Amino acid sequence: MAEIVKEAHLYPRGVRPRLSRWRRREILDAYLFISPTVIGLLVFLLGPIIASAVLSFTDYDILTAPAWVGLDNYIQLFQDGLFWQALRVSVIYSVISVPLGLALSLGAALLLNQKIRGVAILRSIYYMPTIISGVAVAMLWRWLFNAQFGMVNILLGKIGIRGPMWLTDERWALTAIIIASFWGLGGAMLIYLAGLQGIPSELYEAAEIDGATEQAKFRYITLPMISHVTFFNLVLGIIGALQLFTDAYVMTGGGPNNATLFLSLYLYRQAFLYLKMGYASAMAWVLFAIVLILTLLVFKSSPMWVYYESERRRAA
Amino acid sequence: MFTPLSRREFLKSTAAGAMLLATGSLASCAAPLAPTAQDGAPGAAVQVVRALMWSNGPIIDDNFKKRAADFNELHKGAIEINLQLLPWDQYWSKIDLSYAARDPYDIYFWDIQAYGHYKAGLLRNLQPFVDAAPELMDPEQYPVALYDVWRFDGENLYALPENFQILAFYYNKDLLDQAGLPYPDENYTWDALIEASKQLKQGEGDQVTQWGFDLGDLHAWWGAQTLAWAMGGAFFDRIVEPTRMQMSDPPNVQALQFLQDLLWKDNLAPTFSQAEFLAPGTSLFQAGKAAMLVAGSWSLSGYKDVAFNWGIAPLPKWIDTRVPAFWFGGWVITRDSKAPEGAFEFARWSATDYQQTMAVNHDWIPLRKEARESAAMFEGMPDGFDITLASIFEARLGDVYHSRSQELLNEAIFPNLEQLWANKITAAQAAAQMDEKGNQILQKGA
Amino acid sequence: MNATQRHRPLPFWRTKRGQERIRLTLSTVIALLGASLLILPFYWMISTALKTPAQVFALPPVWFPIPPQFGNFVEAVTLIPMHLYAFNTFFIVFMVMIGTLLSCSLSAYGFARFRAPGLDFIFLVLLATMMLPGAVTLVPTYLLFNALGWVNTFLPLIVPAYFGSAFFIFLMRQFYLTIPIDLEDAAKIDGANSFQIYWRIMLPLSKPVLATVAVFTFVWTYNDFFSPLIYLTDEAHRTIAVALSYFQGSPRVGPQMHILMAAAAISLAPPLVLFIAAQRYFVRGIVTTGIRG
Repeated sequence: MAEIVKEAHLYPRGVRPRLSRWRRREILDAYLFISPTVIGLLVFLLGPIIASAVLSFTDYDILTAPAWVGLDNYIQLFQDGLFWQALRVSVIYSVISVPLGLALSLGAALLLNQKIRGVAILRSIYYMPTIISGVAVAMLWRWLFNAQFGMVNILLGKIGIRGPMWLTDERWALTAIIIASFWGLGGAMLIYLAGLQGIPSELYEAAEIDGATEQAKFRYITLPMISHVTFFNLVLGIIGALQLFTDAYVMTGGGPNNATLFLSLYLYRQAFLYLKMGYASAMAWVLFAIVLILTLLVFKSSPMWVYYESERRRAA
Repeated sequence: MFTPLSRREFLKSTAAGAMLLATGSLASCAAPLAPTAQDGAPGAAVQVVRALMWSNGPIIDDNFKKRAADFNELHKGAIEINLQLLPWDQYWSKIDLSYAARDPYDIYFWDIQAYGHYKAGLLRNLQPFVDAAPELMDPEQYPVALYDVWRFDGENLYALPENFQILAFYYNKDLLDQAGLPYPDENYTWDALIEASKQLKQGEGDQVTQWGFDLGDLHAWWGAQTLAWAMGGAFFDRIVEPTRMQMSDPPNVQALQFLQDLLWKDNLAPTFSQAEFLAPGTSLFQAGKAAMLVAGSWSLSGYKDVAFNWGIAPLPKWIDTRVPAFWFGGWVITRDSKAPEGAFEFARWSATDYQQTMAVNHDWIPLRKEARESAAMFEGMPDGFDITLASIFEARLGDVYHSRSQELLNEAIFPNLEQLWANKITAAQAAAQMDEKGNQILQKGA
Repeated sequence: MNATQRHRPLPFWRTKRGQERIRLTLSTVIALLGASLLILPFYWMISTALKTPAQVFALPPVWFPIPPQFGNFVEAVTLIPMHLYAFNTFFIVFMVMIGTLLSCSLSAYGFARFRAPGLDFIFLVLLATMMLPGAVTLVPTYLLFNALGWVNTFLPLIVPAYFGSAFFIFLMRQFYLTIPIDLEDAAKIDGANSFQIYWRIMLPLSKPVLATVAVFTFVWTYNDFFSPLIYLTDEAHRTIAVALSYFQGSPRVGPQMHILMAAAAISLAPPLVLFIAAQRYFVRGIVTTGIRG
């Protein structure tokens, strides 16, 4: 994002700069490299996105033609108690699960980036939960969180804690879904793992010669050198958490007493159960605005904490 | 994905299954409905019918595929049905999408969502076809008196029934024998049920190891409503296009109160927590931990493999009245279908000639008496199956047909019933809250 | 610390090698602990797959079904002949993987290494496409593919992969940004053009992230049952994930758990094999080797 600002300063409005041949070549190359994506955006993505924006101002039941209603959907949305409840659930979930998920997946990646015997098998086990497909997962979670025979409560029982009725207790259902989300940390772990591979071992060797402790190496080499991955996982974590759907859909369906009514779940209900696609679209665009603002905040803050090797020289 | 809005109530309430039908010969009904949709060459008039059904697992799906193949074999050269099956969620999405794309299927299986399609004017009036096929309306063979629920406009059938489901009463013979109690029959009452439950329950509080009775589908609004019906109430002023929700009427509150007391005051039936505690992920009845249960006839096949002897009976009577809930399964044909005659022929054939095969397959309960009461139908079925089926003549439809019924159920009914069964609010409070929210939704109109 | 101690050789656990050994042992223990937590559900899955229907619902739960019902696996494969659907599945997965790797690595390189007017804006728009819930774009997207005449073909599932995916472009861009620019400068001086630099330098250097993208694409495409169900209704077009989704029963007819779990367990094999095969690209040192090569 930062570069675009720089470009704007370089060329005052209305002035067509004379570019060097080298520079023209760079611009042409850039457009060539991104051309598949631009075509994809124009052909497959932007049309439906714009359509949904337009539909958010209509009454649309999917079956018959939409009818224009102006801002009605948005006005109704802000008066809808369930929408606020759903927003609350999604925000609580995101605030807790995103940072914890980042920490856990980084921890797992660090653990499995060592020369442990059988590390390939261990990595596979950590990644396996993300491989399993939807149909079986529902069953799995109901069993895991069952009050008496579920694995979670059996393990808690071993350390003397009597576990709650997870999915049927409105005080605990959201916690259960947060715990469940950690089961799928394999994806973020894998990306961290790839990031850890990119840290030149010379850096650690040099630090060791200087007598750096393990903590110091982690703090001053590992963390900065994978900050680009943390950045990615954070942005995608926010996007993913605020759109969480499947876990809630299969585990609780939004209950009990709407304690796990995630925004995307309520949106789905409106869209495909009540066939109020216009209203659902309005909800989606409000959610979109929230995610976009958060993402922009992360991008704006990134120069302070994200380190890119390639920018070292540019900055200099 | 499995179990959409997960609780059994939602699932089962959206599931109505049955069907229908009966109808007339293809030739005679072609006349009233003009579109003769052959786009092929004049001579090669094979009508291709695009049909959609939802998946019920590999075994029942196979029966459906065989049904289509048999039909095609019989109608070679005239009609060819192309039947596709989709899992429940995608079934409805695909139908909605095909409407959005102005390219709907010709025929698909009814469930409550299709009422919205009728309201949008997308379904075809089947009455002209039915009129041309009098065998479908033979009162000797079909419970035609019940068909009115599918005359959405009060006069014309918009869906043709081929099978039905009914709410029933299941009992574990072994547990009843051990307690020296008689098996329930068509004269069993709620009083007898309560006495038996006291004798059968073993243990107290968290330590209950055996229950006499599990409410089962009485937790669902349409289950609880059967008790309210027997007490003289009804949750809505009418089933098709209700204008008012009337939970606060005394018999309705009484029914809710009675069930809540059974759970919490007398604790003769397990609460959700108690049930979940003793038999996670399954029903207490299936696990052999509850002697009696109210559940739909769709549970028959699920209990086939249990390790005890069991039987089935009509719902118990409240004093001397019983009103069970039933559901039809059947087919609807789209307004814009280019092959309505072929589509209707499939529905008609399913409701007539195919009924005996349905009885043999044991996947659905056929509507036609010949098949419903055939030896094949009873083979392998539990004791009391016959009297249970016969109770359909006392039954009312366990659904509510309104274009906002999904909203009504999800926003007004489920959350309040959930609170009620968790003992967080009283029956009167639940009723008042359901009425307030429900009538608000109904007043928004279609 | 006094002189005598200083002369004595350090005990093993305080030597550098000893410390390293302790750290590794500790890590192994923690990693194994985590693994056992993560693998328990799979144990349940397999054990359910080996149960009789009665054992599935038995109380207390049966942990070790005896005798194990290996026949369930046979039945699962009979009910859904996965080998018949394997061709569709791997055809789609392979095509999507190629498309994603090519289009995303190209575009990501463009976004990471070039400066051109509008580039950052396009990148932001690209990211934004991930922020709108798919539920509200499903209908217009379906109508689009329907208008193109692509419904009931593999095209809606495959073609978009050749035109980039926001998630993977963002991921690869992050990795390209960490690769020192000096290498490219050297190549430029040698007269290499941008495409040659991309192909000969960037791609070999980004093997770990390419492997990550490959694994993700494989798993997501392999597991996706929704799009094939919506766009391909003919039975001949079914994929393994689609076939699996037909095991879930319906609101009225519950799933046969033991068969469902057997089928689910079988379907886990291909992605697992791929993941293990991709392991060698996650081994430390690839980057250095790449530079020398």
